[in-house]
Amino acid sequence: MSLANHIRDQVVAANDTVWGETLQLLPLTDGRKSSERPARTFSGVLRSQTVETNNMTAGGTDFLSKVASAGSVLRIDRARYADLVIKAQDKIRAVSQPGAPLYIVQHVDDRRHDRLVVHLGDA
Amino acid sequence: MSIVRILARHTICEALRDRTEVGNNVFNSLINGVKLDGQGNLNIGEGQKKPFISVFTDMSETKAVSMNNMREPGLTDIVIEWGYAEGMAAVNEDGETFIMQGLAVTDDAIEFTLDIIAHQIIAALNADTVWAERWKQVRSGGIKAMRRFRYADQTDNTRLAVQQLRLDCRLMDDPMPGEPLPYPIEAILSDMDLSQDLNIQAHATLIRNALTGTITDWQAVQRRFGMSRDQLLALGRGPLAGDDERATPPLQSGVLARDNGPDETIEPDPQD
Repeated sequence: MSLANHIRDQVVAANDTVWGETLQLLPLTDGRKSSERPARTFSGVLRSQTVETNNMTAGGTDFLSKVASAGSVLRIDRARYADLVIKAQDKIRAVSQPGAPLYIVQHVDDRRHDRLVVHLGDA
Repeated sequence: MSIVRILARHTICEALRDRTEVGNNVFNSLINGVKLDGQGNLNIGEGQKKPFISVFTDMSETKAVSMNNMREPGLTDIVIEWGYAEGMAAVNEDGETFIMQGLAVTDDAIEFTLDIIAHQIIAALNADTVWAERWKQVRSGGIKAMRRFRYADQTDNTRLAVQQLRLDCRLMDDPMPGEPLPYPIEAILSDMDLSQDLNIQAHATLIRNALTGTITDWQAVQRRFGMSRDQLLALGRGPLAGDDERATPPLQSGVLARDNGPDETIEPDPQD
């Protein structure tokens, strides 16, 4: 491991130790419990976004119904969780938060060297 | 034209309630955004974790030789929307969500469910039920056009899909204040009086207040045709010119004086 990568991993690990929270991954395949990836708990940094009310057609006006949702962004230490596989449509439960809110994985950004960035929708 | 818009929404909501996959999640003019709280509860209705239906009356347009009375509802856009956003279905401890019995939520399961609900909406509005019948009476001028739209996305920080039915309906005319209520308005109001929803009870009271009162014959004619005072008088109706109090009493008797013949006593026509 290069010195730069070593420093990077140390920084990420130190940060996530402070700011990380316990999360539960519920892997799903076609909406049903995955037979290949068991549920597991892990730690990551979850940052909720601001609730916004939008027309259901993403700001269009042809539809009249609206939805209010926030979504979250989850950042996971790749060095610590090199074997963690998260796929779109999996669910993630923030078990340490009030009410243990549930999220659905919208997409996973794995083109980064430091963290896995998971974009979550309210679920 | 406003009263029948209220009745159109109400009769559709009641005709759809508990007759589709959304159960009781039928809403009249839902303005607030549907929101899922941290415990997974919805902010609409009683928090039933089911998709929803919302009924709106939107724009209307009337073209006629004369629209002076502004009463004809014309072609009114009735908008029925039904949709699913993540969380509108029961979830188990494995994170599996079932949108219908045995149907796990996937993108195509959402579309499937919304199409099933569309089928159920049409069936419910055509069914031989009390409320479907009242809806058919309220839109007695006929449904002149029907358009369907759908949309799905996950950019609003949740996965959602929604469908819309727009019906161009020729609704019945608004009742004239002070005149007997035409069918089925009295029947609808009587049921609204008995609703468990206190706001719907209030609707019935407020509609009756808007439609009741005493009205003279000439006032009825003036309102029915949207006439000015001069126009009304030109037809021989209404108070005399210059009667700013609008208090001219009905003709009891009069004398028609002729230059070339005997005077004649005039009695009012009892049919007038």
